[in-house]
Amino acid sequence: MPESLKSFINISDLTEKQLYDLFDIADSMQEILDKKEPCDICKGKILATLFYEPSTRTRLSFECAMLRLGGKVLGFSDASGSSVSKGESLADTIRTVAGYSDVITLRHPHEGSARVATLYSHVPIINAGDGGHQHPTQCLLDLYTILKKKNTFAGLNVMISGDLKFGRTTHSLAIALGRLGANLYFASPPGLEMPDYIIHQLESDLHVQPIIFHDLREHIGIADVVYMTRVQRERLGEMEYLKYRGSYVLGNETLHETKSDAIILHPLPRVGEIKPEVDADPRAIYFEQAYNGVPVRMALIATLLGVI
Amino acid sequence: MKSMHIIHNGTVIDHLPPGMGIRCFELLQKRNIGTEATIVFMNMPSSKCATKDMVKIQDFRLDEETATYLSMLAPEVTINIIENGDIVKKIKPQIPDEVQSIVPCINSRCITNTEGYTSEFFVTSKNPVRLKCKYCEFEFKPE
Repeated sequence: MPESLKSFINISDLTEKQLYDLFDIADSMQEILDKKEPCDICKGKILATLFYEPSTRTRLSFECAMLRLGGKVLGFSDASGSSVSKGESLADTIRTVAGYSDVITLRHPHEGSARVATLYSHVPIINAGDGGHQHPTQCLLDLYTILKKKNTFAGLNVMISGDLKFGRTTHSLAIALGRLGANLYFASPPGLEMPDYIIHQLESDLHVQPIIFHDLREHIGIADVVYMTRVQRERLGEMEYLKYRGSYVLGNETLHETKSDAIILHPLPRVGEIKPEVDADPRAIYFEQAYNGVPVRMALIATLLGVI
Repeated sequence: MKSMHIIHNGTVIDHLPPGMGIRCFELLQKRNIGTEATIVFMNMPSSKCATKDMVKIQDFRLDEETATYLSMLAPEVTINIIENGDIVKKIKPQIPDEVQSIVPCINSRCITNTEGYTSEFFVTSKNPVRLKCKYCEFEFKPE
């Protein structure tokens, strides 16, 4: 990994080579995890987790990753218990915490917040989700999971479905897959389509023409990867949420229409988009996907800290 | 008596698209001008295009930032600075590749709209102008 990667804010910050290098490191991290022996790669280093919004998998897998690497963690998972509740600015919080830690992971409700944080920090910033904008580390583990199962991205038919307007994981994933040569299919309820700037980036910069549609079943039969997402209740009014809730539900009936070797992914949490009956299907690998967050985030932390 | 549309000292904003004169005046009211005498000409004959708007402001010198902003709304705009009845400076603002704090990001969820952070944009298209926020990546046409 070139030294120029000072922070990780957007999936587009990585070149294709950097991406595959990171996946190689994640493979070696998996070997470390398999050995179940103590590891001291990050001994003496501290990861700060500043989560202004709720999280289960992202925060815990970051903390797990740092602990597995032999480092320590500090931070908050609820901004109301910090000086943020007194009105402290993001800039001041970052300046302060940068003095207490060696790397900072930030989840914040405002779009572009992680990029702003880099202006006030002398330690690396990792974007753990900035509003409805990007979630690049989720994207890394999504890509890692797809690569492990399909061995390539080129020519894969990837269907991304659900709330594509506010689902930040889908924004990062669409751009990354577009760069890597996948065919993109976007299924969303009317009103929750992929933002224009993502479509523009795909079409103008990457020369990728996504297929955009509203009926989940329309293209599910040709999908190699089905990526489901929930409706982002926290970014919609309650009435709007109720309108969209339950728009797309994947059950065994729909699953029968998918390829026998397709994989079903979901960034989780799910809120009814995938029926529990699907969990037993070998194509449903979303919990394996969530697990992959640990070796991938171990690889990212170690790389940004320059200890590997 | 001198014709009232001739200014002795001031700024002439020329080659505005038809309809942009009033918009330009409103913008200057928000950003710069106060009680200076101002005339807005609309639908004037033009050699470059069929018709144009023009704004003349007495005893006023347009700043560079506002000139750049105007060029984003009206890429053909030219600005003449008048002193003692003569044009002493003719400005044809160049649209830069990047701009800072010229407008707020129109994405209300953008971090730059909170806590006083400076808005910054890449200019992704120059005619018509489109801006892309460096932080939230929202892309829009400035208005």
